[in-house]
Amino acid sequence: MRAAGRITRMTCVNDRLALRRTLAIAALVIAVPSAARAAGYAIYEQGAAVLGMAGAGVASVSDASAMFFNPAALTRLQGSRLLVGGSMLSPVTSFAGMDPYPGYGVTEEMKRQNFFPPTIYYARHGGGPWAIGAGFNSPYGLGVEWKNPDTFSGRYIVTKGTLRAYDGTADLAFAPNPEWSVAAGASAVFTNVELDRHVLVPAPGGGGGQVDVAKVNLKGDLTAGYGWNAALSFAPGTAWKLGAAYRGKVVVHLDGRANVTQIPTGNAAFDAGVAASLPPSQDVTTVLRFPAVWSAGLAWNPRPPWTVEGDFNFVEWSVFRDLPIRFHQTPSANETIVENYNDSWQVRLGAEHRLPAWAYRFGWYFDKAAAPTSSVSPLLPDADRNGPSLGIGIPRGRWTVDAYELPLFVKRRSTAGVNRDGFDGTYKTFVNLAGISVQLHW
Amino acid sequence: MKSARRFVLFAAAAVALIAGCSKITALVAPGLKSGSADFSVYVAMGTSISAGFESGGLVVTHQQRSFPWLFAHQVHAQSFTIPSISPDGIPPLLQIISLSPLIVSNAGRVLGAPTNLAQPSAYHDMGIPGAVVFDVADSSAYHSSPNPVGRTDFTFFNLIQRSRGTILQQVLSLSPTFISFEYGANEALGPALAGGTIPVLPAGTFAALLHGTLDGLQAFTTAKFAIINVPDATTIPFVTTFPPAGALDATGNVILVSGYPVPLIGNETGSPAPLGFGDYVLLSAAESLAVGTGFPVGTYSYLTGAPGNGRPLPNSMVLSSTEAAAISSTVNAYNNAIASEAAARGLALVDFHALLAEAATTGIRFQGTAYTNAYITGGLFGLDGVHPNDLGQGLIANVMIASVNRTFGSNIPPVNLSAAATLSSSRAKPAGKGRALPWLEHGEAFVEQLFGRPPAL
Repeated sequence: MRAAGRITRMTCVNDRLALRRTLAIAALVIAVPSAARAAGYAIYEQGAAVLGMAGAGVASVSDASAMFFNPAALTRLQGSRLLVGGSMLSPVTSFAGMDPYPGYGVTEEMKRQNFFPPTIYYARHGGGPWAIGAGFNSPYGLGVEWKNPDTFSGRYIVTKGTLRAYDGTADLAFAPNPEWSVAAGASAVFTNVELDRHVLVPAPGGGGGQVDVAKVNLKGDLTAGYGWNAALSFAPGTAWKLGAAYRGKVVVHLDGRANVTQIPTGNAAFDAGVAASLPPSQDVTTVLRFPAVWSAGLAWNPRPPWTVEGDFNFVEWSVFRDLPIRFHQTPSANETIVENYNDSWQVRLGAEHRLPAWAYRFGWYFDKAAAPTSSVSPLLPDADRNGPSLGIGIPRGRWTVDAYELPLFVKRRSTAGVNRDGFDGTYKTFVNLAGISVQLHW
Repeated sequence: MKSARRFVLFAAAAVALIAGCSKITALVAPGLKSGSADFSVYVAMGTSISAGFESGGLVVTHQQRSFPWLFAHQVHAQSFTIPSISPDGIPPLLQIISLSPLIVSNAGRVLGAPTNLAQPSAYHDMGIPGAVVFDVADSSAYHSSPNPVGRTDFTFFNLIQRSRGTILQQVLSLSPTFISFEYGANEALGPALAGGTIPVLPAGTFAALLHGTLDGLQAFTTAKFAIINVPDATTIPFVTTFPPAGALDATGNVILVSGYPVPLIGNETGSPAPLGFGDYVLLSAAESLAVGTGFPVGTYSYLTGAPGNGRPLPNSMVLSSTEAAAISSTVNAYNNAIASEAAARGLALVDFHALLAEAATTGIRFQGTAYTNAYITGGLFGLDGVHPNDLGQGLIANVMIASVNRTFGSNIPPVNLSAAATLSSSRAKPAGKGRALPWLEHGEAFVEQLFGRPPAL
C-alpha cells in the first residue's frame, strides 16, 4: 500500500457503501479494460497483418507479431525483425434505459474517444534451432467516459474510467526439426487505473430522490502482475500448419487510493452532516485475476499465393468470480463483489492472397461475451460481437507495411431488468479498429 | 498498386457507412398484455397507504404518487379517480423547517380542501386513512372509535366514503375488473404506534373478518384481486429511530456503566423503571426526550443535552420488547391468513412485509444507495415516520406489479422509480409565516444522530 491517508470513523452507511462500491468498481476497471474491443479483458489487436485476417494467425503468423499470437513461430522467421505498429480503436457506445431505472425514454452516450495501443516486437532467428523474441504491447485497456457526467443517469456507477496496461514479454523458441517448434516465455503486465463517479444520497426527508453530495476519484498505482506462456507450431508440409498457444493467468495485487470531494448542496446543515459522514481519502487493496487463454489454429495453403486459417480461442473467464476488496484501516468495510463471469470463446477465420506486389487479407470473427447479464453495466457493457476484417500488406525490400480495418459490431445487449446496480436498459456499441505496422527485416 | 489503392478506398467507404448508424434510439415500454386479468376498471381498497397519505397528511401531489395511482397508470386503467385534496393537505403536511436544530412541523401551512367532493360516482381509490377490514362491509364504525383503532376524528371517512354506503357498496358500484385489497395495518400497527396501549385485533378475528369480507366481495364481482399484507411494526422509523438507552453526561458523552449505556426510564409496568435494551422509544416521544423526560436525574438528554428530569416516558411512547414481539406475532398470523386467502382464491399476494423487512436489514438498493428505514435519511418514509414516501410507494407498486404478472400472466411494466422518486415528501405550497406548532424540535445532537452518529450502544 502507498502511504496511508488519514482514516477517520466512517459513519454514514450510504456513503460508506458508495465508497466501497467505487473502490470495487475501480478494481473491476482494472480487471476489465474494455468492453468495446474484445469480450472480457483482452485487446487482441496486436499485429496488423494478423488482424487483416480477423486475428486468425496462431498457425500462420509470419512476422514478429508471432511474439503475441504464437511464439513458437519465431523459429520459422529468418534473421532479425523489428516490428513497430499500433491500432486506433474508436468505440461508440450508447444506452437506452428502461423501467424501473433509469426509465424508458432515457438515452445516454459515451464521448467518442480514440485509443492507440502500441505494439513493438523484436524477433531473432539465426538459422539454428533456437530463436528469441521480445515484445511490448498493451494487451488491456479501458476508455469509458459518459457525456454530461453531472447528469448522466448512471453516474453513481461510473462517469469516467481509464485503464492502461503495458506488457513486456520475452520468449525462447526451439525447433528440434523443420516440422516442430515449441516456445515458452514470461511476461510482466504493468497497469494503472483512474475512475470517477458521483456519490448520491437520498434528500433528507425527501420523497426518495437523490442529491449529489460528492465526487470520488480513484487513482491506482502502476502495479505489475506476472505470467508465463507456452506455444507449439507444427508444419508437416507446405500445405498445412498447426499452431497452439497458451497464456497463463496473471494475478495482480493492486493498490488504489480514493479521493473524495464534497459537492455543496446549498443547505448548510445538510452539507455539514454530509461532511461529517463522508470518508476521507484512503487506500485499498484488491486481487485481480486475468484469465488464461488457450488458442489453437489451423492454416491451409490451397495454392501457393493463398493462406486460409481458422482459429479458436478459449478464455477462462470463470476465474473472475469475484473481487475481494480489503480496506486496510477499516476492515469492517471489507467486501467481496460477486461477478460470476463465464468462460468465453472466439472463432476467427481469415485468408490472405499474396500478389506479386502486395497482399490483401480478409476475415471474420465472433467473440462470445463473458459477462453474465447481471454484470452488464455502464462500465462494461459486454456483449457478443462480430468483426469482419480487411487488410493489406506491402513488402518493399527489407520493409513491410501492413494495415487493417475491422469494424466491430457489438450485439445490442439488454440487462433484462437484472443488472446488479439497478441500472437497466440496452447498450449498443460499435467499434472501429484500424491499425498499421511497419516491419524491418535484416 | 492501383488495385491496392482501390482496396483501401473501398474499405474506408464501407467503414464510414457503417459507423454512421451507431447511436441507439430510446426504448419504449412494451405493450401491455393483461394475461387472465382485466385492468380496465381498477379500484383500490385499503388504508392510508393505499390513499397516498404521506408526511402526516393527504394531498394531491402525493395521492398521485400512491401505489394505486401508479398501478392504474401502468395498466392503462380507463379512469382512476381519487378524493383529491388541495395543498397544503389534510392535515397540512409536515415539512422540514430546519435541519439544525431539526424542526419538522406543519407550522405555517394551510389546511387543504377536497376538490372533487361532489363527484357523482365513487372514487376509484377507496383507500381511507384509519380504515380496518371490518369497515369494508359495515358502516357502523365509520363515525365511532372501534378497537383497535383510536380514531379521534372521522375526516377521511367524510371525505372519501361521503356517507354514500359502505366501502363495499361503493367499490361494487364501479363494476371493477381489478381490485387491490390492503387492510390489516391499522389493526396491528395502530396499537404499536400507541405504545401498545390499544389492544390488537386478535389474529383469529382478523382472519374471520378477512375471509367473510372477501367472500362478500367475490359474491358480487368477478374482478381479479391483488392483496397486500402487513408490515412489521419494528420496520418503520416511528418505532426504530430513538434508542432506549444512551443518556449523556454533562460533557455530551454517553455514560457507560459496566460497559453498557444508561437506559431511559419508562412506565411500562405502571411504575417508573429502566427500559430494556430491546424496548422501542417511539417517535412521538421526541418532545419529551428533548426536555429531559425519560432520562435519569444527573444525566442529560441525547437529543438536546437537557438535564434529565427523572420522569418516566409515558407508556404510550414506548413499545416494550414484549409488546413488540406480541404484535409481530399477530402480524405474522395476519399475513398467514392473507397468504392462505390469496392461495385459495387465486389472488396476487403483494409482500409489503418483506419489502420493509429488506429495508430494515440490508436496505433496498436504488441508484447505488441502500435505502433503509432510517428516519429522515433513509429515503423511504415520509416525515411522519410511518407512511412510505413517493419512492416507497413506487417500490410497493413494483412489488405489486411483479406479483400480478406472476399470478395472472400479464406483463405490466415496472414503474419508473426515477420518476416516482421526488426530492420532497411534503410537496405542497411553501410554508408561510405564522403559527408555530412544531411537531419535532430537537437539538443539533439529533442532526448528528440522523447523519450516523448515534449514541454508542
